[in-house]
Amino acid sequence: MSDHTGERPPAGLESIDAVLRGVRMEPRASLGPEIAGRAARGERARTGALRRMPGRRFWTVAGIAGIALLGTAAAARAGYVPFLDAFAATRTTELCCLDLDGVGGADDGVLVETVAGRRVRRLVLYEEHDRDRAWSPGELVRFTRLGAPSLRTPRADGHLVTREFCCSDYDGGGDADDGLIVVASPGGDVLLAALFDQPGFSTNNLLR
Amino acid sequence: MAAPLTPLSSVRSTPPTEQGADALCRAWYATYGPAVYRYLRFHVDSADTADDLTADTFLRVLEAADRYDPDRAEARVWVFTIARNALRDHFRRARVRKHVTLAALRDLAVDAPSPEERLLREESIEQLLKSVRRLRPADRELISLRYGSDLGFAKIAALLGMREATVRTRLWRALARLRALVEDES
Repeated sequence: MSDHTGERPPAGLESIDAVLRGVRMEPRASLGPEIAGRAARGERARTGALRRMPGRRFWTVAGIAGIALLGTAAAARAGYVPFLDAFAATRTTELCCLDLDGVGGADDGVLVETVAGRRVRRLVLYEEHDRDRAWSPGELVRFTRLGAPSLRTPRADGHLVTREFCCSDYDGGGDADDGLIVVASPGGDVLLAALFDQPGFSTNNLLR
Repeated sequence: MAAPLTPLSSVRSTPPTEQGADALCRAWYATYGPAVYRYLRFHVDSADTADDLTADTFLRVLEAADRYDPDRAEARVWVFTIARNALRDHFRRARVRKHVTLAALRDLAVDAPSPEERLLREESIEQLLKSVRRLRPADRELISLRYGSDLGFAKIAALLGMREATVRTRLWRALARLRALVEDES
């Protein structure tokens, strides 16, 4: 019986089939004209349950989605979500003039673009040429990097020179609590430049 | 009853005046109204609720009539799709709002020689319908479509998106479960 695919019911079910066939429920005679009257008056059908009367589940889902959205927006704004950098507030700071590369005296400047005053997105070391003590198109760029810091290969053999500058507000976070570390070859070829948090560069202090 | 809705295309082309809506609704209801009502009646426990749902179905039909595409579905299958949606929304609302059943079987058409016989027949059918409503939704849907809607197996299969043989197999299984329920209760 379980695989019976015939038009007629299998043995044993004929009687209940016949009873069900005999059940005739008829709408009251006035129902048709009543519906037509309602349609003519422009009455609208009731819409779906969720659209008419949102239940507890709807509001729970909506609440969670709202909190998640606000949290994501706040995290993006604060720079914690790298792939949402486009929505984060960026800050640019520049300091001039220091001897960052060990060549030519205090004629170098640093330009730092951060996401929300935390994560470094761009860092540029330049040599001040037009003596306006600020970054301008005429400056000579000595070093530039995007994203995370990395050490470049020196062009020539020789001892590298590391310089630390602390403390200033390099990242635009508002407090003078950042240091700048510059690694350069003796000829002034800058191989690495990064920010660190005070109290000074150590293995526990991540470069950024 | 299964005749195609030839007059509707001409009614549909009339401007949306009160008379146009009235005539369109009457035409759809005259063709499919009683079958839709019987189908819904297998699912709900009162004639009043079936009235409301039937009205809701045909108001939806009227609202969607301009979008009806005869190439995609036969009119009867399309109307029952709308009825099923109205029913589903009703059960969602009914989780929150409970109804009190009054005059449960006032709509039962019975040929009985005496009031006593009618009463007995009403009682047995009421018991049977209660058992139908205790079935799981998929079984109840098959039984409602088969015995309430006047749809043949092919159209039920089209409506449910199943093969016709599958519909028959599942219907007979549902019927066997219904019989077992009825026997338990008696």
